[in-house]
Order: sequence, then structure tokens, then C-alpha cells
Amino acid sequence: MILLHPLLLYSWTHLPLPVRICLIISVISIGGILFALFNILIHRYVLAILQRKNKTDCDEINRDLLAAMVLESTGPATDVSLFEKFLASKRTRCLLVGEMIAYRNYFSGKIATRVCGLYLALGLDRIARQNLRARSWATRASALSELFRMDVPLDNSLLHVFLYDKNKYIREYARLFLIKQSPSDPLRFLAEENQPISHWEETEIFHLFEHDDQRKAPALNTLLSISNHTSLISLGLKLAAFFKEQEDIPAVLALVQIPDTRLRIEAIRTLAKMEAHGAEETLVKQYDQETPEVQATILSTLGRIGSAGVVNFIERQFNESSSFEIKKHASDAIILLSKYSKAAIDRLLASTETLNRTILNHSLNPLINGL
Amino acid sequence: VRHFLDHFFDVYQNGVFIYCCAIYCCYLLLTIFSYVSILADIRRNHLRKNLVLIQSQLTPGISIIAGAFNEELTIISNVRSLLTMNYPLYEVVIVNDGSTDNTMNSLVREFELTEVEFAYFPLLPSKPVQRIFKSENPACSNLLVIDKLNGGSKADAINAGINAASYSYFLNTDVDCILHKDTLVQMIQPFLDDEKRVIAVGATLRMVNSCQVESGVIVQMKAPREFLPAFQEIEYTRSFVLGKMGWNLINAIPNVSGGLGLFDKEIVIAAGGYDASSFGEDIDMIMRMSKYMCEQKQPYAIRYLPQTLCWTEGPSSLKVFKNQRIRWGRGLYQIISSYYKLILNPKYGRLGLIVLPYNFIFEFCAPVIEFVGILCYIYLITLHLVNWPYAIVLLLFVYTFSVCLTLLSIVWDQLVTRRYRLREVMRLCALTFIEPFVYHPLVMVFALWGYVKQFLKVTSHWGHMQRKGFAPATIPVPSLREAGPSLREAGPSLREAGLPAGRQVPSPIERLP
Repeated sequence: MILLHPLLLYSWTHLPLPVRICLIISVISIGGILFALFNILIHRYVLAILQRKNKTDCDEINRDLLAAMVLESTGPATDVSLFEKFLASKRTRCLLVGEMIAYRNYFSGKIATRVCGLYLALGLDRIARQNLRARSWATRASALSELFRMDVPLDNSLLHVFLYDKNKYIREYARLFLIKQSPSDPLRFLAEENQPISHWEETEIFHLFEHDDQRKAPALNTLLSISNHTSLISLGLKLAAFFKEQEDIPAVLALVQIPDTRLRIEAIRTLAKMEAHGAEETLVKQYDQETPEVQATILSTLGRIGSAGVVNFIERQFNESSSFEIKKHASDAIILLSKYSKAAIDRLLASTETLNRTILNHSLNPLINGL
Repeated sequence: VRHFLDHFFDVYQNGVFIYCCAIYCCYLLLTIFSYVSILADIRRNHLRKNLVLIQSQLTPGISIIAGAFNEELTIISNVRSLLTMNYPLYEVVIVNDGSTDNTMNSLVREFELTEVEFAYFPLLPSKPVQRIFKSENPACSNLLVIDKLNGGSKADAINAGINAASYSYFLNTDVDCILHKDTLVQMIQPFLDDEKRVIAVGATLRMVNSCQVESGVIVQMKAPREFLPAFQEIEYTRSFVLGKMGWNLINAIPNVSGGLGLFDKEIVIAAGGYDASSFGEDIDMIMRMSKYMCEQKQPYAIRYLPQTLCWTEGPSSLKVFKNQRIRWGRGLYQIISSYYKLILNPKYGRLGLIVLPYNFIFEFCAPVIEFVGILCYIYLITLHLVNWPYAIVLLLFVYTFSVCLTLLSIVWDQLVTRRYRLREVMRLCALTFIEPFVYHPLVMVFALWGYVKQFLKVTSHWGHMQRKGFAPATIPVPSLREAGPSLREAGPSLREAGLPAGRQVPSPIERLP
């Protein structure tokens, strides 16, 4: 302070501009330091109190839910009044909803239905529906997510509005809702909209079909059209591989000619997963025009489809190709076709070429390939 | 001469002032950006459910690649920890980089490894692979161990790991790093969620030095007690939470840490893999991947997560710390000298216009300017030319601003993770006040030392950090009941009822306050 003393003798206007700037920033920084320290203290203090309260309430909610939903799952309808006390404050209401969503996620069947019934009986959906009109996208997305996870139906006209929202999360949930609420042809609107979807959304949509035993295989023809966005075609291929419906094979086979290499590879892989007998001829014909990456996929697919007619073709590729990747895929395919390719395997193992033998032994080793 | 020096000091002082204001403006922007980025991440996490990924058939496979050199003390527990990640499809590739201790024998014995005839194709350059092992124990069927000649660098080991990896994504880590159970499920999300092609994802790293570790799992999180690791903890918080998260918002992340990074294997291979001659192989890899994507005219993104998903042992002795920082200094020098042609080249987009200019002006030049500044100060003091009131105001400005930013980074960090007790956080805050006087000069001197060594092309090896090992746990691992209320308590009842108790039991790290 003694050193700073002469500074006090000057008036502010006499100080050089850099010094004035420094002084202003220093004062702001000191304010920032105090803010940071108090913020940490207050934040931690408030949080500690909240955590303590939440723990007690969570315990109680969980105990009640467990008793009403799981242990008495075969008993009479749930006593709603038991849970009404949790609706008094926003905090306990949120805790209750959080726990109910967790139950909904981890249970299926009667318990899940009871949880959804309790959610509706308590009128929690009304609050979430109100939140759909909130200005903040985070609140709207959160409300959509809550209603989606609790299987609460929403009006299609409202969902179509959300389909064009600026926020991607809201758009995603609107799409998921529409798929969930359309038991017959749930994917048609996706093809009509023709909007790209992310891999995450693809996973979520796939999850809907994967974990709903009641759901029939959707019609994929509209999705598997070359005119669609690549992400939609990709989703269609994944669903085709999952449901393995024979009527989808021609549509998938048509995609083997698509110019997009990644999609072409995916289509070829889908044929393998669908065990599309009859596709071999097309794949073999196409083999020579393809890039090495696609060629390797074709060989794997031929192995997985598993017909005797292609053994010689695969063996030839294994012997003639100079590409390590192609040799490796051909070798895997030969091993997959071992029912028909015993002689070919013996012939190749007897070969003098070290690389070929190593690759074949690699494919034959159950520790590596988990065969 | 005197006249020339006076003139030089005038120009230098003004230049440094402008430089200082510019760097602080950047830091301020990064602070704001990081806040926005962290909030976006919190919201995203609220809407995205990990369970969807864990249960899905579409979840992409990941190869965890970890290099090991003389790690016999910790290798078994750490590999065990890697084998218990919460992810449906992954493999662990351990690359024994010519260890001279018992690392390889321990692995063979513990994991029932057997040598296999593996079709290994050296797509990326590395020292010759001698043997490849797989475990005969079905519980470790996803473990692959590569025994290769010592390549003298981590890059060489990782390249060998990539050559043997099966999946399209690989996680680059060190075998001595401790990963959170949810590391893979968290880090894969940006790859699935982003509109652009994500080529790499990183996450925050922390010091494990004072944590209690049992069988490769952290059972009690503690802030480092020793001074040097504690300062590094502060530095890491600032660098990851404030720096990387700030750059994340504008997709201009300069580096994904070598301790923890998830990469798109196809792009890594296309970019030529890791450079074994680089002292900063992690930043070099990101530069080359970014350069490759720009040259291919493909939009790309590099993302960072604010969550702490990896704990690493920071150097606790000055000698090891010095070696590490000299290496980092050399690495930065190599990067600037290798990629200077890209600076301000619009063809390289953000890489050429933001990442490299920032790294050159504010990362590379900062220690030089700072060092010359100190020399000037000493010279002016000896000549009694210092206007002390003004000098103190300038120092106060620099000091308070730095402390303020560091404390804000701790505040931001508290938004995401509150793993330390309040007392420990306050201790870190207190250390922030002395960091500019104690720790920062060391970082500056070692960085300059690295520049000089690199400039003079002094040959030195990559170096190996002597591990101390981890503090054993003194508290028992919390039981399921202690872990918290809600569904966890329902476990036995659910099983009795024949219902799926599918909820993932949180890892011990998650259970701690």
C-alpha cells in the first residue's frame, strides 16, 4: 500500500490509460474471486442440505413404490392417496417422477403398467403437458421425455408442430412419439419428412422395436428407397436385419447398387444378417467392380449366408488377392462355410505360403474368433 | 546502446501489455464458452439415457488400447479394472512395450494367457511384434495382449495396438490410468449424437495421487495432498474444464489428452497413425487428423466431455515433473515447426485460423515473452527505472485476473462433479493464490528448457514415469444398500420376484459423495 500511495495523489484522469484499464479489471477480478469463493461455499452448503432432504424423501418414495408396485403387483389397484403427499412441493414431485421413470425403464409387464397408471392417477401428466408450452426448450424437451418414458399418449397434431421445432431434442422426441403411437406403418412419416436422423436417434428408434414384443415388423419399403436420406436408409437396413422379413430382401438387394460406399457396405451386411439366400449371385457378379473394402464385405456376407456354391469363389479370392484384408475376410468366410469347405480348408492349410496359413489359423482359432 | 535499450523497453512494454490484454480476452471468452458448453452437456445428459446404449444391438464396438512398459506393480489390477467396463461390446488390447520387468509374466499367469497365431498386419508403423496372446479364461475373452520390442515411445505401442484392434473406434489410454466404469458409454455419445463426423472425443482427467484405490477401482476420491500434484490438479481443472470445454463450443479443440481419448480408427489410419518420433504424440495426432479431414473437405468435429472419467498419477517429484514438462515443451515446438505452414491458411478452416494461431501466439510464445519480461524487469530494477506504483498495478491486474479465472474453472467444475469434500476444494482454492508464484514459473522454465533442447536437437528418450502405486483403500467398498436409496434396494426383491433388476449398479466412484 505504501508503494501504491503516490497513486492516490493523482487524480483518476491523470493516470495513463493502461493503468486505468488494469485497475478496473483488477477490481472486477477481485469481485470475481469473491464471487467464486462464495459460490462454492453457498452452492455446496445448499446442495448438502438438499441432498440430505432428497435422501430421506427418496428412501420413502422408493419404499412406497416398491411396496405398491412390486411387492403387491398382483393385488388391487394402487392406493393413490399414499403418494399424494409427494405432490406438495416441486422437489418431491420431481423425485417421485424420477423414481417412477426408473421403475418404468427397468420393468415391463404388469409392474410397468401399474407405474404408468399411478403416474396418470396422480395427475403428473398434466404438469408435464403444461410444461410442453414452456418457453425454454430444455423444459419442453424434458416434459416430452417424461411423457414418452411414461407411455402417455400425445395428440398427433401437437407432435407434428414439434416435428419442426428449432431444437433437435424436441424434434427427436416428437419423431419417437409418432413412431410409438403408430402401430401400423410407424415409419411412413419418416420417409415422407425425409429429414436426417442422428445415430443416437437411430438407436432410440431401434430400441423401440427391439424391446417391444407386441410390435409387428414395420413396412420398410418406404424407408429403403434410394431417394431417402442416407440416415433413413441406414435405419431401414438395421430394422430389416433385425426383423429378417423375407419380403424386404428385394429392397435391400436393390441398395447394393447405391453409389454411397458406406451404405452399400451396410446393405451387403444386412443381406448377411438376413441370411438372404439367392443374393449370392448378385454379390459375386458385383465383386469385381467394387472397392477392396466392399469386396471384403461381400466375402464376409457370402460366408454368413452360407451356401455351398460360393466356396470355390471365396477360395480363389483367398489365394489370388494380395490384399491382407480381403484374405482375412475370405478366410473367415471359408471357416464359416466349413460344412461345405472342409476340403478347401485342408488344401489351404497344406499351402506353403506362411501368410495364408497364419490367416487361416487366425480364423480357425476359437480364442480369437469366439467360434 | 542505452538509447536503443530505452526504445526497446518502451516498445516491449506496450507490446506485452497488448499481448496480455489479448490473451486475457481469449481466456475470458473461453470462460464464457466453457460455461455454455457445460450447461449444454448437463442438459444433454438429462435427456440421454445410457441404458438405451447399453441395451442396444447397434452400439458400436470399442477397442481399449493401453501401452505398458515396466508396470508390474499395477498392471494386474488395472487390466482387471479395464475388463469390467460398463459397455456391451469392447475389447482390451494391452501392448507390452518391451518391458524389462515381470509385466508380461504377470499378465500371462494372472489372465491365463496363451500365445496364438494372430494374423497381424502392420498397417501403421511400429517396432516388430514378437508374440500375441489371448486368454483361455472365458471371463477374459475380450483381452488381447501384444508383446513387442520396445519402441521408446507411447506412439509406437499404440500403433501396434491399432493394427490388432477389431473395432471401428479405439480408446487410447495408459495402463496406469484408472477409468470410470461408464467411460465408454459416455465417450461414444458424441460420435452418435453429432451432426458432423466426430473424429475424436476426450474427457477430463484428474490426479489419482491421494485417492484410495482397490483392485484398480477408486473407492475414495481425494484431492492430491502433495503440493506438486495439487498444483497439477488445479492446472488440469483449468485446462480441461475451462480451456477444452470452451474450445468445444466452437469446435476448435487443439488436443485430446494421451491419457484418455476415443478415436475414429479409420481416420487415424488414414492420417498415418501416431508419430513415434513426436514428443507430443497426442496433439500431433489431432493435428494430423484435422489436417486430413480439411484436405478431404469433410466436415468434422472433435468433442470434449466435462465429466471426469479418468484418473492418472501426476509426477510428485520435481525431477519427473521436469522431464514431463520438458517433453511437452519439445512436443509443442515440434508441432509448431511441423505445421507452421497451416497457420492462417483458410483452406484448413478452424485449424488454420484458430487452433494453430492460438497455439503459436498464446501457448508457444507465452513462456518466451514471459521470460524476456522477467529479464527486462530485472534490468529496469537495477537501473532504478521502474515506476513502482504502476508496476504494482500491472502485477495486481495479472495476478487477480489469473486467480479469478482459475477459481471460476473450479466453480464450473463443481457444476459437473462434486467428488471432493468442501475442505479439499477450499484447499485447492487456497493453492490457487500461490500458484502464480510457485508453480507457474516452473512450468515456464521447463517449457523453455524443452524449446532449447528441441532447437539444439538434443537427443533424449521419451522417458518413463516412475510410478508410486496407489494408496490402498482403508475403507470398505460401500455395499449396495449403502450406495443409496431407490431401486438399488429393490435388488433382492426383484430377483425373488423373477423380474429383471436391470438397473446398472453405479461404480464405487459414482457412489461416493
